Amino acid sequence: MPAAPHLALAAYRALLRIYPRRFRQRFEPDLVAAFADLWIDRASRGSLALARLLAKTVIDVATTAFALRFGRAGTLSTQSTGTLSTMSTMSTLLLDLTYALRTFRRTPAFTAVVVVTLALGIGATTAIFSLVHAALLRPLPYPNADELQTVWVESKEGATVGGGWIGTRIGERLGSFGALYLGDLRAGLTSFISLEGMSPSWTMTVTRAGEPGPIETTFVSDGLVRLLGLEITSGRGFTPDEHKPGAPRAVIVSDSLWARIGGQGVPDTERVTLDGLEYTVVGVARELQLPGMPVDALIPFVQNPFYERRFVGIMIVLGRLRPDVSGSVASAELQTTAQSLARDYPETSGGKGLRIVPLHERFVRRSRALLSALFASVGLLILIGCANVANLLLVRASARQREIAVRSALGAGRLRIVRQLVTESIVLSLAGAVAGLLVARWTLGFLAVLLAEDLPPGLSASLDPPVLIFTTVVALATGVLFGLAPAFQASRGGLPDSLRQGSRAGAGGSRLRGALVVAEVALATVLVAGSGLLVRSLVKLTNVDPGFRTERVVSAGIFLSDAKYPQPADKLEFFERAITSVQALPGVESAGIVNRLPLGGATNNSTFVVIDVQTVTRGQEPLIDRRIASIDYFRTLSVPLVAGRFFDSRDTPSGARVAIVNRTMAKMWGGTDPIGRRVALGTLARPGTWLTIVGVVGDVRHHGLGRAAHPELWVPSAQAPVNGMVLVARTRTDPAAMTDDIRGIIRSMDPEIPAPASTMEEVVTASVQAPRSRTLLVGGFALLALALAAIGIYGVVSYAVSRMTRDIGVRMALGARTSDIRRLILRHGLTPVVTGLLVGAAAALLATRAIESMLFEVTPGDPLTLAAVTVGLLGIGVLACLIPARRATRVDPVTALRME
Amino acid sequence: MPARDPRSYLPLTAVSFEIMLALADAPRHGYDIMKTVEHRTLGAMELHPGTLYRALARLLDDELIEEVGRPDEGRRCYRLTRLGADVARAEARRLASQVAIARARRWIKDPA
Repeated sequence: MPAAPHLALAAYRALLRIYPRRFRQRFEPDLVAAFADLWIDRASRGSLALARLLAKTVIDVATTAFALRFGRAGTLSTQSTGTLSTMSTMSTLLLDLTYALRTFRRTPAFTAVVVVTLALGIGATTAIFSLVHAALLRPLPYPNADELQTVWVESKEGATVGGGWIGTRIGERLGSFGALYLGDLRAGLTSFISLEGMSPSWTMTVTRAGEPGPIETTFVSDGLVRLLGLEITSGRGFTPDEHKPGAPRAVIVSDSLWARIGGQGVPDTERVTLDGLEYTVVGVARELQLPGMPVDALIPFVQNPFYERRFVGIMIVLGRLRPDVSGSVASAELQTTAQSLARDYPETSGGKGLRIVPLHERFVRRSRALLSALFASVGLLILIGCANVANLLLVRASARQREIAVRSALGAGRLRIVRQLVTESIVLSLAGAVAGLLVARWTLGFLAVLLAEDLPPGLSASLDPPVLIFTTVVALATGVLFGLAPAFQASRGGLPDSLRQGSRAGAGGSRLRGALVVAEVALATVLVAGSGLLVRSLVKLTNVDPGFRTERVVSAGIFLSDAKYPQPADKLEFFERAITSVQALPGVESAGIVNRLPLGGATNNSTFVVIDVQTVTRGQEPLIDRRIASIDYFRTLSVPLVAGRFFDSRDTPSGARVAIVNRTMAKMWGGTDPIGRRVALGTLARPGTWLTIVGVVGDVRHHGLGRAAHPELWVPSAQAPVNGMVLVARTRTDPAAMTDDIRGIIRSMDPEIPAPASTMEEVVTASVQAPRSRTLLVGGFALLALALAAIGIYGVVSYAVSRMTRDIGVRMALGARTSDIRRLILRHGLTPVVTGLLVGAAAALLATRAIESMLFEVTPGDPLTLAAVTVGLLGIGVLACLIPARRATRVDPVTALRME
Repeated sequence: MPARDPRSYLPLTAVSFEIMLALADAPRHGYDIMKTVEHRTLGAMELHPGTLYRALARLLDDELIEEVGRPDEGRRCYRLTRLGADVARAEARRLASQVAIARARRWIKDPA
C-alpha cells in the first residue's frame, strides 16, 4: 500500500494542535491514521480530489475545533444542546460566509484589489516554493535516495583536483577519481553496501539515420544501473563481461534517443555509431536521469579512452552506506583507505584524503543559495501584500464602525464579530490563493526556463500535493495575519463611543495604519536594496573586459574520432586544411583553432606545472590551465601580445617545444622576464617534456566574466594534436551570416562532423545568463514591492486626509495657507515612511549578506546602493503623499465644516 | 444506575445516526466507518476525521458505542452497546413515523 507523504501528515498533525489538548490526547493517532487513509484514497483519484480533501480537511478541523472548544461537552444531560451547538456552528459559518460574499459583491473594486494583491503574492510564493520543493526538499528519484553518498578525493589546502562535475570547479578541494580506483575503493571501504562509478556527462557524436548529432553519454561501472534503480524497458542491462577490458562495445540508450535515431525492433540486434565506433544497443531505458544531469546513453567504463589512466579524474563515486555503520567507523575507514591509496599510488594519491558527501547535498548545493534568496524575496513580497491588504481592511473596518456598533448593540458578542471579520479575510485569502495558483501555473514554466542555469539539470517542478498544501497553509496564514488586527481593531470600539463619534471614530486605527506603513516600507527597502545590489553587480559584470574582442567572431566545434583519424598527423592535417579553407572565404579576416573557447562553460583542464626546478617544492607544484591554440588564434580573438611572440610557422611537430603563458602565469617568475625560461607539465616526480616560453599574452577570462584569469599556458596546436578543437574566425561582415559557410566547409571535408556553430557574442551573453535571470527576477519582485508600498502609503495618507477634512476646513477658516496644509499632510504621511526607511536600511545591512555569493565587486552593505534605494523610496513616499496633500489644499472650508 | 430511556437521547444528529448504522453489522475502525458511510449514502455524506471523531467521542461518552480493542493494525475499533442499539432502533422508529406522515401527505411515493 502506498504511504501518505510525510509532509502531508506533518501538516495535518500541526493543524490538529488547534484541538483541545484532551481531545488530541484521546484521538490523535486515530485521526492521523484516518487522514492518511483518506489521502491515499484521494491521491488515487487525482490531484483535484486531493486539493478538495485539503480544503475540506481545513474546514473540518476548524469547525470541529470550534465546536469542541465552545460547544458544551457531550454528557448525557447536555446531549441535545451539544447537537444544537454543532448545528449553530455550522449555520453561523454559513451565515458568515453568505454575509461575507454579499459584502464583497457590494464593493467589487475593493474585493478585486485585495484578491489581485494576494494572488500575486501567493502565486509568486507558490511558484518559487514548487522550485524549492523540487530542487531542495524532494528526495532524488532513486530508491532510498536519502542513503546515497558520494566519495571524493580531497586535496590539501592550495592544491586542486580537476573533474568537471556539477559543483566541481577550479579552486575547489574535492575532485573525482581515475576509473581504475573503483576496485581499490571497493576493497578498502567495506562500510559501503555498494560502491559504483559514473563519469561526468560526456559529449559524443552519434551517427545513424540522418544528420550526425551530439549526444550526452555517461560511462558507468557494473552496478550503477541497479544502484540508481534505472528502469530498462526493453532489452537488457550490461552483462559482467561487457565491463571487462576488450569486451564488445555495448550501449544502453534512453527511449528519446532511441526514437530520435529511428531505433526499432529488438535491441541487441541494432547498432549505432558513437564517435566513429560501432556499439550494439543492448537495452532501452525509460529515462536516464543521473545525478546532476539527464543523459542519452550509458556505456561501460572500460570503453572510456582514459579508462586506464589513474591521473585522469573521470569517475564520480557513489554508493550506499551500510545502515549499521556509524559515522566514526566510516571516517576511520576513509582515513586508512586514503593512506593505503597514497602508499600504492604516490603520484596520483599522495597527500590526498577521501571525503564522503551525501548525494543530495552535492546535488542541490548550487541551487540552494539562489532559491533561498528568491524564497526570502517572495516572503517579503507576501508580507508587504499582507500589510497592504490589512491597511485596506482597516480603512474599511473604520467605515463599518457604525454597522458593527449596531450589530453589537443588537447582541452580537465581540468574538462573534471578530469571527465574522476573520471569516471575511479568510474567504478573501482563499480566493487570492485560487487566483494565485493560476498565476503560479502560468509562471512556473517561465521561471524554470529563466533559472535553468541555476537549477539542477532535468528538474521537473510542478504544483503537486505538497505544494498545494503549502499554498493552502500560506493562504490561511495570510488570511489570519491581515484579518486579525483589523478585526480586533473594529470590534474594540465600544458601542456608545462609536455611535456618538460618528465617522470620526478610530484614532487607534490610525496608529495601527502608521505601523503597517512602517512595516511595509521597511520590507520594501530590504527587497529593493537586495535587487539594487544585484543590478549593480550585473552592470559591473557586463562591463568587465573579457581580455579579447567579441564582435564579428564565429566559432564552430569540431570533433575528430580516433576511429577515422587514428594518427596525430591525420588530425593535424584536417585542422590545418579547415583553417586554410575558412581563411580563404571572402568574408573572413582571420581564422584559428583553440581547444576551449573562452566563457564556453567547458570543463577545466588544469595540470600541475614545474617551473625551472628550483622554484617548486615537491607536492606543492602549482596548478595551471593548459590550453592549445593555432598560429592565428590570438590575432583572431584580438588577445594582446605582452612580450615575445605569438606561435608561428617555426612551431611545427618536429620543431623546438614551445609555450606561451598569460600575464597571470608570467608573475610566477617573480617579476623577471619569463621569455626563454622553461616549464614542464606534471609533477616534480614525473615531469613531462620541457617547454621553452616564447611569449606572454594578455589574460582572458575563460571561466566567466566574474572570475579572474587563472595562470594559463598555451601550446601550439601543431605540437599537441587532440580530437576536439573549436574553429574561430573573425569576419568582415555580420558573423551570423557566415556560420553556414563555415559549417559548409567543415561538412564538405567530413559530412559526419556536426560542427555546432555560434557567434562569440552569443557565447558571452549565455555566460552571464544566470546572473541576468536572477537580477531580472529579484528586480521584478522588488518592483512589485515598490508598487505595493506606494499604493499602501497613498492609501493611508489619502484616507487620513479624508478623515481630517474637518480639521483642515477649520484651519483654513482660521487663515492657514495651502503650503501649511501641504506641510501638515506631508509630515503626517512621511513620518511612518521615514521610520520604515531607517528600520529597513538597518535590516537590509544584515539581510543582504545572504546574497553575498551572488554579488560581483559589490559588498553587501554597499553604501551607494543603500543610499540610492533610500532616496528612491523616500521620493516614492513623497509622491504618494503629494497627491492626497494636493486634494487637501482644495478643501472648501464651508463644505468641510458642514460635514457630519 | 438505572438504565435510561433510549428515547431521551432522541433526536440523534444525522452524523451520529449514520455512524450507528455503519456499526450495526460489524465493529469497525474510524476510516472503515468513513468509507461505509460514504458508500451507503453514495457520497452524499462525506465524513472527515475531525467530524467523525468528535461524534465518536460523544457516542462513547454517552455509552452508545464502546471500544472492542485493536484487532486491525492497532487501530481502535468500535461497536454498538446494547443501549446504543436500543437508541438506534428508537431513532429509526421516530424517523419511520415521520416518513409515514410524509407518505400520507404524498410527499414521497410508497415503496414498490
